Amino acid sequence: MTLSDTNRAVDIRNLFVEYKTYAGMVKVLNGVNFNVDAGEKVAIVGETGCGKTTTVKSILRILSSNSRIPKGEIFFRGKDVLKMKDGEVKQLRGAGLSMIFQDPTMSLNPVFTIGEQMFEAIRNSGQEGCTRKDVQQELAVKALKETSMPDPERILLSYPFQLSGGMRQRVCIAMSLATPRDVVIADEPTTNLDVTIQDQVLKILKDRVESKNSSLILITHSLGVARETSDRIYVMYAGNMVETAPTAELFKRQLHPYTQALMRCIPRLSGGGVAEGIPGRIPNYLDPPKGCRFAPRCPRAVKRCHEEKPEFYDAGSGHQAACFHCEGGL
Amino acid sequence: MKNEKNTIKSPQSAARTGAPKRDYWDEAKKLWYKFSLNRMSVVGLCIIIVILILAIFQPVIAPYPDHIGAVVDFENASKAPCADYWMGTDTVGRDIMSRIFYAFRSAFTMGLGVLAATVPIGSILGLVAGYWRGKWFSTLIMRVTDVFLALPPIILALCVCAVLRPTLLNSLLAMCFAWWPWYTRLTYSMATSLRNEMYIKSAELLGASKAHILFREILPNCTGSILTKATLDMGWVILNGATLSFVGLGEQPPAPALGTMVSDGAKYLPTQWWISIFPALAIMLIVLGFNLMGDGVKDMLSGKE
Amino acid sequence: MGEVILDVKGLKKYFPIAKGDKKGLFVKAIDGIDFDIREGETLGLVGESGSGKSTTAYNVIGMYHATAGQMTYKGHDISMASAKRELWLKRDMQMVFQDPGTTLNPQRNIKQILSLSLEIHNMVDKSDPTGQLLRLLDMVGLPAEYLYKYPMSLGGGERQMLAIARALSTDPSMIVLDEPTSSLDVSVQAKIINMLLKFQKERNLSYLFITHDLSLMRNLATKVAIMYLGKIAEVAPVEAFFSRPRHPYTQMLLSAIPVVSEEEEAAKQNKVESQGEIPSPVNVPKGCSFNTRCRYAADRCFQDDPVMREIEPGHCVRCHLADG
Repeated sequence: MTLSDTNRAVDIRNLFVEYKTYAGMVKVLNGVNFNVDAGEKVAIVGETGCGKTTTVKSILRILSSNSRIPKGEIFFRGKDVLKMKDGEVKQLRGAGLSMIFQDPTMSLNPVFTIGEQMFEAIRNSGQEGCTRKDVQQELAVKALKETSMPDPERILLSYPFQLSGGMRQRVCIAMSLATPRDVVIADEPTTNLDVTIQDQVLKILKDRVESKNSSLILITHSLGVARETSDRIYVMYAGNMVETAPTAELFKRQLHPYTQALMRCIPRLSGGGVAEGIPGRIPNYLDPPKGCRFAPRCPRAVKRCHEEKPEFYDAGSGHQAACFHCEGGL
Repeated sequence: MKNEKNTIKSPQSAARTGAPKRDYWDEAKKLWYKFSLNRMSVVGLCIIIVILILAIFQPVIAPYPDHIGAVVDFENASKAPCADYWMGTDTVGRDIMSRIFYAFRSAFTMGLGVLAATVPIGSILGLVAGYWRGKWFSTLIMRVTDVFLALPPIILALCVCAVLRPTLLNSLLAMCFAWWPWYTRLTYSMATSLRNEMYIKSAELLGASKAHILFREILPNCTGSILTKATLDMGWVILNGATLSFVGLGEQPPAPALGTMVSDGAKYLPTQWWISIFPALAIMLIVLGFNLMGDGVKDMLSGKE
Repeated sequence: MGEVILDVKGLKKYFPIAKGDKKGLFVKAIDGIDFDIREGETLGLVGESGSGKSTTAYNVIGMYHATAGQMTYKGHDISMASAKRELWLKRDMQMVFQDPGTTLNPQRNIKQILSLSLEIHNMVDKSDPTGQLLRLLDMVGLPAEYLYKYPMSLGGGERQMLAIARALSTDPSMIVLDEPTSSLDVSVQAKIINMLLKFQKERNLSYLFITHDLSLMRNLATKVAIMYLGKIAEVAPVEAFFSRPRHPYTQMLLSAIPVVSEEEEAAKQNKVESQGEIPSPVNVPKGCSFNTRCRYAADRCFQDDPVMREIEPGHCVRCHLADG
């Protein structure tokens, strides 16, 4: 039986994604395993080009037209997203899932007011009475108030360019949570914001998701942001999930050599200098390493690492790592 | 990488042993790949190449190479297309196909001549005006450009040709008068935005000379657009040149010119249609060829990887 | 500590607004700042977007003409814009920008990019020009095959290393670094920072390091200055700055940084919750410019603009409430 547990909000199993380019097939995702429980806040942490965005785009089925999914399953509340018909996918995007992007100027249309865009989103949710103007107005005002926006009525009448970056991102959060959602996906929501504004936006995001009982998938390149926001963290490297653990556990001990190296690279507020960085560069996806994709840069790599792909090995207390050194527990 | 300590001790060795060479062949292959992605552009390029071959080797390829001059053969006059004369003959019995092949030569002379003169002049004026936008000479250049742009090129060329004697060279000169402002406008607008790019600013901060900034930093970023426009303009210049020869200003009879041939044959339409239809089709083919090529040239030089 | 190499006094940069309903007003990007940098020292200039930190960098390097104030570099007045400066200044002070994608001409290959400044300053090694460029590439860890590549075919980190190689090629004494690693991943950032530290040690370089990342400054700077709305709020040697932050804004910034360990949480003292956003530099609040976001703001803060006070050697704060 491949039917998924319905308690799982999202369950991705052994997902492969490739892009066709003139240089050949770019094999980005290399068997991703990933799941989120209902009401859980999960962060995916990884560096540029590791496939974080591709992973969440495949959940929403908004991958670009030159992509291909040769293998894998994506369950959303027990239903396989990849087998859904277009109508179901539309419903999924309207009511089940919502996405917050890094750059709000990408998701907010500059020629419509905030109000017009929020009403449209509420209408698409298919909720009861959502086609009525007064219901839309009421829901939108309520959602904006909940993200501590001052004067929501005025915000509804303004255009995106009249708001600051932090305000725009709060509008996006309000918009995606104006109606109930099972899962909210936030793709680097605070990368363009200043640290004090980031702090405020993350708090609001966390608070809103918790009070609506939604699941959160937060994509970020910053382990610090993940630590402040999530219950559980996935570390991603070159198209693979390499390690997952509950947040506190992950910061106590890191099992995968990549996670360890990444942690060392982060400059600490408590001082102590800057580490050397990770030698080498991310693999070429046209011709990726056959075994573990981190093996060419890994200080602990043995012969087996270059030949076989490691699976997730359980290390207890919800901690898993895709590394042969963790095989058979620790 | 392994001999890192060695390279620091005797860094010169890197230069002597393994100095890399610039791989021009590889760069050319990449350009061709980008051009060839656009199928229609390849078709356009083929059309142009075929026309060029016909023009250059006219004496060898054409069935009646001597029909370009004042030849008279009344026996075969006004013959419809047949096995001997694939495109028929004109009213004095000359083979139209052989004459078209030869007329391609003056068409290309016209196109290349006009662009060779106007592209550099127009672009340099535009660069200077754009980089020093706001200075008095920039304003002067752009206002003169605007005046020339306000006149339709064909009218301007007609005026010039009316003053000078109607020859191919003079009609070429006339076209030049009308054509340079387009390139000034184009490079002006590009230079005004490029001068604010950070890489131009950093070259200025390094202390680079004005000539370096204009020709080595800004100009290479304009060449893509300039060459794309020039490719498209080849067709346009040839079309305008044909228009000039259609009204009798340009290459003089008996030498064949596409425009003259169309206008000569127009009197015998519709019965002897082949006299003007084939030269007209030839004009169309050249313009079409260059227009199709234009898109590919744009993709090739856009700088995208 | 070495000699003072760059001395900035009362620097101001106003941009007039030419259009719209605010015509005739000024954007006060920098509104009177003082700082100095000594030989071999790194001054970290930290602030949020709109604080004027990049404008400061551009003024120092000469991209702008200062509205008022005095800048002295090795005893020479450099208050004027770059076009009027002497040539040796353009050799001795270099700049590395935030986004290497925009500061490297996409139509010029790496050989052309690297040789430009050498040619301008007449520093080309005539006997072995290619070898000289290869040594530069090798210095920042880029392979020799890159010589004929174009910037667009390099990764973000490699482009930044190239920009650093270009800056170092003229053997400068000071480099202005404008957020050189903020668009890069931490593993690449670590490599670049290490490289910068190594070159600083080898060549006794001075850095003016513009950034928004305080954790990075903790590990890199000798002195840190916080900018807010065109003014310096607090400046101190790095140890004092992080162990005894006095300005409420500094405390707020430190509290807001997402960290990865308990020691770091402990290093954040006086936690201040972030609130509000930086006001527009066109309408700077009356009194202390931070009063709209400060939880300690008293009546006095809405009336008088505080002046810089030295509360311990080298540690200056611009706040009414910070006592000595």
